[in-house]
Amino acid sequence: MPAVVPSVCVHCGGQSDGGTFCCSGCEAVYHALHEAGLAGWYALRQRDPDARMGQRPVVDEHRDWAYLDTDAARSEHARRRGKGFAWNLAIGGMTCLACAWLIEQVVRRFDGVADVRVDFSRRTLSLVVARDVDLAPIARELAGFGYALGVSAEDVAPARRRELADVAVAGALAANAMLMAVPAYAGLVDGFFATLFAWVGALLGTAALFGPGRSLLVGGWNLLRSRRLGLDVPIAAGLVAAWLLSASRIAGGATDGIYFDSLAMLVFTLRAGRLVRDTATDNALRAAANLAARLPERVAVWRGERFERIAPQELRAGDRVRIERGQALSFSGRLLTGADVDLAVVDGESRPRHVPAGALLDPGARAVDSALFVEVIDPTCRATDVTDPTTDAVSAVFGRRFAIVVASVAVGAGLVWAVMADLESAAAVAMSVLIVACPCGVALARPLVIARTLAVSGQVGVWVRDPGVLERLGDIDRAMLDKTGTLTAGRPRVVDERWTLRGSEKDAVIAAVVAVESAARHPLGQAIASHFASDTAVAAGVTGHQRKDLEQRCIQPVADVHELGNGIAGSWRGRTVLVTSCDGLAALDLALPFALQRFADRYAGSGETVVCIVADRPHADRLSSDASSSDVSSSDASSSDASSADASSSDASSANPSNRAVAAVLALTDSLRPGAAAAVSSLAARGITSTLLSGDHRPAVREVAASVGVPAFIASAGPLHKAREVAIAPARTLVVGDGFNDLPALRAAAASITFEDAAPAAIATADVVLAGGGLPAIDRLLDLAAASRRATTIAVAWAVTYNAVGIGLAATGHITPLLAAILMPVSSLTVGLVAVLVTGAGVQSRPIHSVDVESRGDRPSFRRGEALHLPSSLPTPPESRHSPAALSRSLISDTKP
Amino acid sequence: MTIVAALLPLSLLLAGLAVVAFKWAARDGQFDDLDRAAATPLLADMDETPAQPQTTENA
Repeated sequence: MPAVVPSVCVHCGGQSDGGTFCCSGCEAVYHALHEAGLAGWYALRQRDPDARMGQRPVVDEHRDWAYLDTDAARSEHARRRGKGFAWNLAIGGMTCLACAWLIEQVVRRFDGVADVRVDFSRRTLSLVVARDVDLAPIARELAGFGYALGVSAEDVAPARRRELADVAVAGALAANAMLMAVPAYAGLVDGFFATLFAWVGALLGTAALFGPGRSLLVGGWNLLRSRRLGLDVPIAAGLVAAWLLSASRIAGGATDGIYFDSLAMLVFTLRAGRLVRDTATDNALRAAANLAARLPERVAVWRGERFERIAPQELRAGDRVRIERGQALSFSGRLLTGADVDLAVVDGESRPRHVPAGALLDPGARAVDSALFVEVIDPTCRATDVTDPTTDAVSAVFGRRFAIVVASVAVGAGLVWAVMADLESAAAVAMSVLIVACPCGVALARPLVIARTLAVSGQVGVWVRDPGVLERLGDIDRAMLDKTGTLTAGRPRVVDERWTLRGSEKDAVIAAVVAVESAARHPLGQAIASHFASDTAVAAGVTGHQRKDLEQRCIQPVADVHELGNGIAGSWRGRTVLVTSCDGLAALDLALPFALQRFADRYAGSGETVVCIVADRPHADRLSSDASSSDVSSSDASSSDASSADASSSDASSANPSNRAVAAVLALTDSLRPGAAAAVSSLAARGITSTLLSGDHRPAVREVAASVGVPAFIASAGPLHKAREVAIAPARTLVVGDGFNDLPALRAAAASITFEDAAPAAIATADVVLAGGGLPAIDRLLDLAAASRRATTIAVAWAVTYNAVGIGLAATGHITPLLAAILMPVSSLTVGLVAVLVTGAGVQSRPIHSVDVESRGDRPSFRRGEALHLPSSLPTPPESRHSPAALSRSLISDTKP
Repeated sequence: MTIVAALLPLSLLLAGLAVVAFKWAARDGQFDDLDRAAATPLLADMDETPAQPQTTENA
């Protein structure tokens, strides 16, 4: 093993609490990479300065990969290419460019794969496979390396390519139209050549307006047709007016007073600004969507003799459905056989509960250690909110007022000129008012502000799915915070332990506990496994791979678990252990020794979860042989659960309980997310009152509220209760939540924030997804939103000033094409520049501390090029990745045509 | 000055060619993934030197 300074995970580079690895996932991927001969990934990652360290591989190995090989998936997500299929798939879990290399290497090793290409910016995998090649094995292999394959959302690449091509055409036309106009402005030509240049310029300008500029005209026309006024209306009016005026003049034989060059330049700048905004919005949306690269859910429904997998939409009331371990219900139903159910997302209770047969389950209930058999009552599936990122409230409001003012000035000036002079000059003046009033400054500045804000927020791990939230955040004065998974990590960890065993005895029991709990999906079980895993289990030879084997072979779910309360039992290397809640001991005829009882009471009193480890005494041959004889009963064979449960419960009761003894008591607690208290106090400093809204019971909620300094809390709040609290003043409310139970509240609020490890439905609903930054990033988000609003205000002020001067000149008949040709691009560019500078100033005026803190803890990341041997406490200087140069580089990479 | 009459269509033709070339490249997806292109030499390096032994990869 390489020499490693403790507390930096060899695989992900995150904090590992003293072990070689921070979690079993990292360990498994580490071994998988070496076995596959792909360990060069580590060296390659070191070369990527933007690699995200400390991100644990989280892939649900029980995902429904088989979906990818169904006809439905092929027809929806693949295209026929020659004799095979061309796929475009989403891929989650990439942290650096080396991941792109690794994924291509892994996929290329499969037979029948013709072409593999990972698009790192879009987080997609395109591959061409022969017709008879199944994708499920490929997806499973990638899952072993920590990457989740999913179907990608709508592919925006073709639309962006067209947009880019349009911008290029507009640029070429604008440059050449300008070239045609310059000799005339400079007074260099007259006679034939003046006419020639004017006509060529007219052709180029017309091509620009009706080619790349058509989408601008269509935008304005669509608004008018739906009887609305927006920024696009005065823009389209200005463009059309400029064209009409110029065309009428050139048709009359004039070579001056034509605006075709300005026209083409306007089309170019406007289209380029929109491309920049669209690209930034794409990136933010895509990053948020692919955080959870998803497969459509399918459920196994009983069809007479076997289970068949169908889409949840096809479920009917009365269907009998099997929900695999780890899966959640997307419908409400009646439980057919009693089982342990994780109701955390339904009522916030963090520990799974035993639910008897016949009980009703709400959507979001999750199977824990065995499959659930459920009869469907209401198959209604939740609808996913679709946000339209291109609607921009600011542009709409500003545009409406602007359009009204401009129209009245144009008409007014036209009337005055018609009375005071002739009709022809009245028309010319009205036209030139429309031309000069074209609000291109704002039209350009607003997309740039949005693009800039999204790019910067993406860098600090804040993915803004709906840019409109930046504006809405300005009205927020109350925040509703969820508890489990939001303020707390949602991942319990062992805080204290008390043993009755020592030495090799203790080690053997720990190894068995790790082996057994590694197979558990129970959050407490996983916490216990990872607590002991890094030291003892590695020493005892339980590697990640063996754990997988264990999961498949050795684990026997404890039969009488229901009588015991929550727990899991199993045996490993002749040792049988039972991990259970201490309340269940009485049923086993066991009692806690006095010292342990005091230990347990102390922690239970302060709200922690207390768990007991019961082990058989050494040489208890009967029990261990008993367990090994039932090795084959895989915990996945859930359909046989009921029968095996009966069989082994009689085993258990016949076993001599005196062979068992309490080996240890563990205390577990769910820790706060890093920066929770700071986030609450920074909200308070901004005049935002926080309320803790949780489905959990009162003492636990009160405890958390007190420790993070939230003034008010509401306990035992169901999903609808939460939404009602929001509905008191939705426009002023920010909701931060992560689960199914937060969905109604997230939807109701003006601004909603969730986390990258939240329920996929929450990610699809919330306006903002916090990825790298965790809770401290909320502060950054509010800063960025304020900066973007300030930038917009300043840009609007500049644009209004320019336009007021320009309109004044035009209304009095002083505007000339030369003045317009200079004034319009200059005003657009200065306004755009001011907007970007102001946005940037708001961002850089504060040090970015939260950037390098990963969401799962205050994990120090290390700098590029530094080996793992460096002390992990070395803080990463913020400027290493987020210097002004890096920021501007990222902006450039986002704004490249 | 008459040379302008010949130069004008020529310059427009050249500009048109450039636009056509750019449009082809854009439609071909050559501007899709700008991050990846920058790293291509590094990734190509890795393909030539196969996986390094376990003991040295963290050195």
